[in-house]
Amino acid sequence: MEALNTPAYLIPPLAAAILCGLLDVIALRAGVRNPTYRIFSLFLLALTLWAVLIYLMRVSPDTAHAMRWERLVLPVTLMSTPAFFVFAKSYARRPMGTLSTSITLVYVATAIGLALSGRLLESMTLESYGYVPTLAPAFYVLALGGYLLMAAGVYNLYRAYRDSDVYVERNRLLYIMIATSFPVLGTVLDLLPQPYPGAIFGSFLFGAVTTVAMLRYHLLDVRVVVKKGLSYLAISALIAVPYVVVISIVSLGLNRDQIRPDVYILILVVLALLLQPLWSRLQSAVDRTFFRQRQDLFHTLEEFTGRTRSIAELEKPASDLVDIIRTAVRADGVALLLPSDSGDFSSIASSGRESLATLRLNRQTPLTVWMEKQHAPLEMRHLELDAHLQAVSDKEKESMRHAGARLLVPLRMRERLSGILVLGPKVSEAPYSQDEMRLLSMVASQTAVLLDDTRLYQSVTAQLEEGRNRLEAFQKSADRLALGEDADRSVQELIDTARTLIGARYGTLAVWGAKNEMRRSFVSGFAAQGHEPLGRASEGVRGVSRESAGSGTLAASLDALAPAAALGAARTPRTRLIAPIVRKGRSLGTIYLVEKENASEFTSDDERILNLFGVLAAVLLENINLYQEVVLERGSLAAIQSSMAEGLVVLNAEGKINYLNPAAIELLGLTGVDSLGRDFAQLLGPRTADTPLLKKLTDGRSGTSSGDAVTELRLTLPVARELAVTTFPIPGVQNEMLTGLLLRDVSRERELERRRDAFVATASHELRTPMTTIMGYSELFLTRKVPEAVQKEGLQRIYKEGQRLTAIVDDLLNVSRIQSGRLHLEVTRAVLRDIVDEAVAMIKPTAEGHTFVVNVDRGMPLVLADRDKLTQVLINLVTNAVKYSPAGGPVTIAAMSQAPDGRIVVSVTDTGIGIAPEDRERLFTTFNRIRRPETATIRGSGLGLFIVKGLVELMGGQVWLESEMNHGSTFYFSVPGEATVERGGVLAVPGRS
Amino acid sequence: MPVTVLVADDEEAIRSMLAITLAEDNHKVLLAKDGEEAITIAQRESPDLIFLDVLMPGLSGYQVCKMLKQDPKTAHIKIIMLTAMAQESDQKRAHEAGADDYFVKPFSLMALLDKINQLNLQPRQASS
Repeated sequence: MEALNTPAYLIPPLAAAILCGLLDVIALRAGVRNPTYRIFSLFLLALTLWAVLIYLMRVSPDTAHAMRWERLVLPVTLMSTPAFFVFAKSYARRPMGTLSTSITLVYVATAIGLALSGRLLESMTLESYGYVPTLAPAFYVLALGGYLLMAAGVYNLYRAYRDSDVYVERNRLLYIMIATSFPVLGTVLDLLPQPYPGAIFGSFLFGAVTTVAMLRYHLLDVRVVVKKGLSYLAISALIAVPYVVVISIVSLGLNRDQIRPDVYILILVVLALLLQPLWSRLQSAVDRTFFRQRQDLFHTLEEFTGRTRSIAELEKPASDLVDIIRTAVRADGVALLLPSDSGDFSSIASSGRESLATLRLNRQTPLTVWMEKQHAPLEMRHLELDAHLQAVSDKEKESMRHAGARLLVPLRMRERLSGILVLGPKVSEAPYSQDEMRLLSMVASQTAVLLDDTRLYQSVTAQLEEGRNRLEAFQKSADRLALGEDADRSVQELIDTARTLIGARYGTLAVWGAKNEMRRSFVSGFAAQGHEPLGRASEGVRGVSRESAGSGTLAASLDALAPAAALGAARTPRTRLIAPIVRKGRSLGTIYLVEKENASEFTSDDERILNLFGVLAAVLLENINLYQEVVLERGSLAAIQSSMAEGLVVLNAEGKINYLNPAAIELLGLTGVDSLGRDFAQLLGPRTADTPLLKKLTDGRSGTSSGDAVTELRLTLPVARELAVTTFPIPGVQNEMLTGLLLRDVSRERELERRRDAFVATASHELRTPMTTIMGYSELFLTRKVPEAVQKEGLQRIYKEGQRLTAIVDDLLNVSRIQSGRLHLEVTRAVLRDIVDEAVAMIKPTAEGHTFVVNVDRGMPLVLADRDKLTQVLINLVTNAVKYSPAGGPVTIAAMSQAPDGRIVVSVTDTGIGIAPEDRERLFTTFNRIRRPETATIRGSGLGLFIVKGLVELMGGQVWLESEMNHGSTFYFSVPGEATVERGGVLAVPGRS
Repeated sequence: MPVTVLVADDEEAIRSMLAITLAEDNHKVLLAKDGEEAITIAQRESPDLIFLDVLMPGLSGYQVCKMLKQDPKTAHIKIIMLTAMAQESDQKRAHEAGADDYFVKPFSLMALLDKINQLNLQPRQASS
């Protein structure tokens, strides 16, 4: 028997293959990332492959070939069932358990194994309607297993359908179940002995079409799909008719019974291309005819759902909602009524007919009570028809009729009526259809959810806002704790904040002293009533002991003490709040709030907050105490540090400067130097030669020794200065050892010491020289017998040296007297020339190589002076002139009368070594000798010029000098002359005795 | 044993006192009134001993001592410093300058004479 080549036999599998292949492409494009879609496309791929294999089997030339293809068809057929099972599981969001996975894998393995070994197919026969396989019993077993898997998949889908509350989701699950039933049914039919396998064609087409519907209109309900499927069938028929016509024409025209299958396909493709515009037009025509209204409604719903995703405020979605609904159902007006503050329903948004916006519905009327129990919209005409609504008052009916309400849709949430959607008549005056009613119900339920969400959102937002405000105020109070500058203000702000935050009318914060007495009180909220209640409020808490603070008895005692007008006005339990201010077990005070602002009671929240304020107040009060202590301590410490003459330097462990007081800056010569954080040794290195000492000072370890160490640091820059440095360890905050350096300027002391030492050395030298002569001769005379001439000379020398000793001792006494101001002067009129001559005569014998020039006129005015003292002045000056001109030369003594006041100015000039300008200042101080190489061997006590100055000034004169280095010096002094007195000049004659 | 002694002191009283005393013991006495003179005489006369005052005009006793001790021709001369400086630092300086001994003013003349004997100086002829 020859193989069948009729189109009816060959085209269905081919068409199914093409259709399923296209679907697969669509499914893959729709969601390649979605695992569910991937599994679904695998399922479709199996169907495509199956159809292709069927086609190849059917075009086989003989049964042998057909059998070969059929062997492949069977496993694919079987394989589609586990694919569907896995898809169904995934789609229903039910995880593959171990059992499911094992069964699937076993099934797949068995099917593949049996198929490959050829155990599924026994033989193939060619009947009049085509190839017929004789299947092995194993196949039937596997097929049964496959159906069971399919059933399990459908069951999973059903369970998801049953559990889902989401309308759209339930719809989608229903599509899949129905769509699946078609291929299943078709395959079952194919297994039964029957004349023609037409079921394949029908089931596939139907399955495919429903799948398309599902993919494209996954939001539509099933009834629409049915309609849509029918429309596609009609379209298919429209294509099939020309197709059949063309085939017939081709068959007849060519007069050929047998047309090759590829020609059919070619014809089909050409027809499809030619008819494609017609197809699209037909489709849109069908859409318009069947679904326009519904589509609009669903778009409405979709749009509304989209807009209500983000809810922040109610007004915008409400006005959007009424607009959308009005457009969708073509009503002449829509209004949304929500409960107002008074509880009645009034319009918050309306569109179109304005009378609707004025509509008000009372709460708890028969109408609203009825609507609370209904899901469905209420048509106005039912007011007359429904027995339950007979109770609705005529007035209410009239007002609704007057407003033009035609349909009332209840918005229900948790069995309560949360709002009413009121619609006017349709523009077309037609009654509302069932579809529209259903849509409005859905919209209403969504709106109810939205309203509830919004209400929740707003209340949550308000709560959050209030919480945030409270938190901010609290935070502000907490921030105050750090401030110590104005303690009273901080406490006042705290009680004010606590009072306003909690919403109390009056507040008091009492601070207890150490002996239970009330030290301070702060009141809040009394200002408006003047000072009297304020005082009484303070009085009210006075006397409450700290034992009672924080205990329950406090409230009672406060109430008992408080004047009724202020604190005790409200005595019901929750109209006052008390929080103790306790720190480390000690009661520091009490916060007391009275009367909640809005006349309600205080809440437990308020109580909690006041307790927090109590904690804040405790910290604040403690901080204030601490701050005041610290300020006092720090203030006095800073005052000491900045005012003390001693320099204070604090070094860290690395020898860097942590702190130094103004005196230290001055002493170290660091004015204008940014010395903080600098290395002390490095900073002072250039200023001293005592580098090792500096190192030792700044070495942290030296400071950590138990005792304090005193050393002296000699600074050379910026001015020569000697500092006594006391180092002492300071334990740092972080356990590190700081070194404190206390600096005292000892330059003056040291200089005095040095001068004293130098004086002692000089004086002893001056004394020892004559003593040597005296003792030497005495010893000689006592131990040896010497010639008389020698003895005489020796005795003369002893006498002379004795005189010299006396003079030195006189000098010392004079210095002492001048310094203590006990020098006695005997002022007389004297001829200066005589005094000068006397002085020169005394010096001349000891001054070899010097000549003396005296330019003093004997006829010049007499001087008024102590003759002996004046002689001493001259002797000292002339001696110096001789001493400091070691090379010899003239010493000139001159005198002249000064014009204005008649003073006599005497000068002593030498041609000696001269005096450097920088040395002139200290020339006249005690024990101070100019140290220069040339003067090293010049004897002197360092007293001469001091005595000169002292004596001259005592006699009312002055001393000054002119000098040029290496050329000589001139010392001048002035003494009062006769004319000075006559002219009324000031004559200082101390004569103190 | 009589030796030649140079006395260098700017104080005339001390010079003459020492001159008289040393002459009493038959020593030959040379006198200088300052440092420079002391060096000149020492080089020329090469005395056995010098009594050298520290504080003199011009060169100080220390300087003179150092110079004489560094000069091979005069290095052998014993030098005794006479100082009115009683401090330890002065004695140290005397030693550093190379002095053989020192006497602090006021000193005992008899101790001075004893010192000469202790030194056991061998008188030598004046240099050529």
